[in-house]
Parts: sequence; structure tokens; C-alpha cells
Amino acid sequence: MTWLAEWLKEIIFVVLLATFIDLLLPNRSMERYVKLVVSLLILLTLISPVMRLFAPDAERRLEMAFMDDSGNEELPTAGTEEILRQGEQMRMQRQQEAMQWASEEAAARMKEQIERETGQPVQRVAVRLESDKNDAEPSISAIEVYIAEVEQEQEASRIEDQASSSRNDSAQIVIAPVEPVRIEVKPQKKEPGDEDGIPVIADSSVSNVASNTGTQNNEKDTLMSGSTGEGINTGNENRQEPDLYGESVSQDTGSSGLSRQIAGLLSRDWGIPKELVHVILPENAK
Amino acid sequence: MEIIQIVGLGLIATILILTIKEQKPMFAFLITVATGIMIFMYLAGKIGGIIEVLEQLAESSGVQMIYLKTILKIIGIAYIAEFGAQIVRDAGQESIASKIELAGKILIMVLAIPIISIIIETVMRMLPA
Repeated sequence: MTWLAEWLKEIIFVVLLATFIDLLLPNRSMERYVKLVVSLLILLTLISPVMRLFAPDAERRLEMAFMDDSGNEELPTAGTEEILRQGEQMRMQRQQEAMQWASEEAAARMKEQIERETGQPVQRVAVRLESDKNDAEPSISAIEVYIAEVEQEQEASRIEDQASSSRNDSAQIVIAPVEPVRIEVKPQKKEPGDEDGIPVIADSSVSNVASNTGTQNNEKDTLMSGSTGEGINTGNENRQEPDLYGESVSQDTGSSGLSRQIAGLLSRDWGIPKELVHVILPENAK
Repeated sequence: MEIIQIVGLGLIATILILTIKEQKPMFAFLITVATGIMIFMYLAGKIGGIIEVLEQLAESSGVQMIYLKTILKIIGIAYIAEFGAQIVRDAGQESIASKIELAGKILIMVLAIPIISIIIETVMRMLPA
């Protein structure tokens, strides 16, 4: 019986609405036309139970017809542009994801290899890929190797707490106060499209795929390593301050053999120029 | 009382137009149009209130929204066409005014096409083939 009540309500409302517009109408000249449409609507309401039986999709088709009628002038051009723009965006995103994945994979392999060959625990390897706009092969523009520190028990517990809370897979690596120092050697060779290329950086320990496709290296770097614990954050600070640049190099002369070894390893096995490899050592390893 | 304001505006505009008409018929026409638009805009807000109430009613009574939308579209077409036609008629262009009205009528009829087609289809299905 509810459908009957609904139906009656609908009829009453539509008739009410019809009288209402009859009053609202501005003048007589439109009246006949408006009355025709309104009476058609009333008829539609009256036969709606029958319509539900014989044409169940009538309502949807009505909606489609009205939509089509109202928006067909300006929709096609704007729609095409919108679709093209979205497609371009999706393509960029896909590319970005692919590069992200590739750099993560490469970083993981490198980390494994370095750990195997040098015997030094590596906290993480960050590989930065860049590709220029015209779909060229992405090339590695920078590699940063963060060396973990094994000793220094007195602060290890504090850091370990933080590290284990932020990432679980690092439980076997005892991270001492990781205060990375960066040997910064600017890459001499710049690709022609490097300026407008898309830098991607990933690290092997935490696969935090930043969905942000911003092209600023520093910003992205911070984003990526923000989740790997406090030590790396301080490394970032360290790296972003140009004053510490010279100091960090001088600090690092003692263990430059290791970085040379790593760079040699990477250039031998991966064909990466040595000046692109940055080995970042803990501060207390000097 | 808003009606007093509207009528006062109309009277002032009429007096201005009557005084200015001899020297500058163009400005008189502009005053006419501006007054008309002001009154129309004022009323548009009021009509908006009415439409809101109607929408609420439709939602609560379960009538199909597509009907209400159609009816509102009809009202809008009728009002806008009527308003434009009157302004043009004020400027003395009777023929263009009637063209505008014709356009409004045809657009209203276009709204009827999907309804008619669906009714006809339903009737055809009801009939035994």
C-alpha cells in the first residue's frame, strides 16, 4: 500500500506545482506552451506505476535527455581539453611511479652489494634518477650512501627506540647516533634536460613512495627521508647548510677509503661516474 | 514594505525618462533597462526563496527531482525570455521582441520532447504487438 501513498503524494505535489507556476508565469504569451509541458509531466506522474512495469529505465533516460539538452553546447571542447589534461597528468604520474620503482630497486641492489663487498652496514642508499621531458632513458644523477654505525652503545638505545618506532625492518641494524656527514661533490656532467627533468629519489630501507610529484630536489629529499628517523633528518639539515660543507669534507678524510671503495664498486658494477656517488658517514666515524 | 520601494523606483525612473526623453532618447532607454534589471534582480532573490521551499517540499514528498527540475527550467526560460522581450519592446523593436518570445517558446517545447517520447514508448509497449 505504500506505493499507492507515494503515488498519490507525487500526483498531488505535481499538480500543486503546476498551479504554482501557472501563477508565477510572467504573461499570457508563454502560457499555452508551459501548460503543455506541465500537463505532460502530470501525465507522466499519473502513469508512473504503469511505466515502472513497462519501461523501468524511463527515469534514467529522462535524466540523460535533460542533461544532454542543457549542457551540449560548451561541453565537448571543454571536456576534451579536460580529458587531455587528465591524461597528461596520469602519464606523468605513471612515469614518476615507474622511475620511483626503478630507483628503489636500484637502491636496494646497491645496498645489498655494498654491504656484501665492503662488510660495512649500510643504512640506506638513495638513488636519484632524472629524465628529461622527451621520454629519454632516465639516468642516475646522484647516489647517496648512508653508512650506519655499529658502535657507540651509549646513545644507541635512544636512537634505537626512535628507529624501531619509525621503521621495523631496521631492527637488525643497530643505529648509533646517525649524524650523517656528506661528502658533496657536485656532478660535473649535467644532462641537457636536467633543469626541467624530473628528479626521483628513493631509499632502500623505507619505501615511502611520495605521491608528490614536485620537481624540487631538496623538498622531495626531505619528504622521502622524513620517515626514516631522526638521524637522517639531521643529515638533511647538515646537507642543506652550506657552511658545514667544507667541514664535513674535512671530517671525512679519515674514512675516505671506504667512500672511495664504495664509489669504485658502484662505478665498476653499475657504470656510475664516481663524482655522482656521495657517501654519507656517521659523524662519529671520523 | 518592499513593494513601496519598487513602485517608488519605478515612478522615479518614469519621471526621469519622461523629462529626458525629448533631449536624449538613448539615455531614456538606458534608464529603462537599468530600472528593469534592478527590479528583476530584486525579484530574482525572492524567486530563489520560493524555489528553495519548493525543493524542500519535493524532497520530503518524494516526488521525482527530475520533474521539479523540469518545471524550474520552464519557469526560468519563461521569465528570462519575457524580460528580454519586454526590454526590446520598450526600445520599440517589436519584431525582435516577438523573436525572443518565439525562442523561449521553442526552448520550452524542447523540454517536452523527452517526456513525450517516453510516454509514447510506454504506450507502445503496453499495446499488444
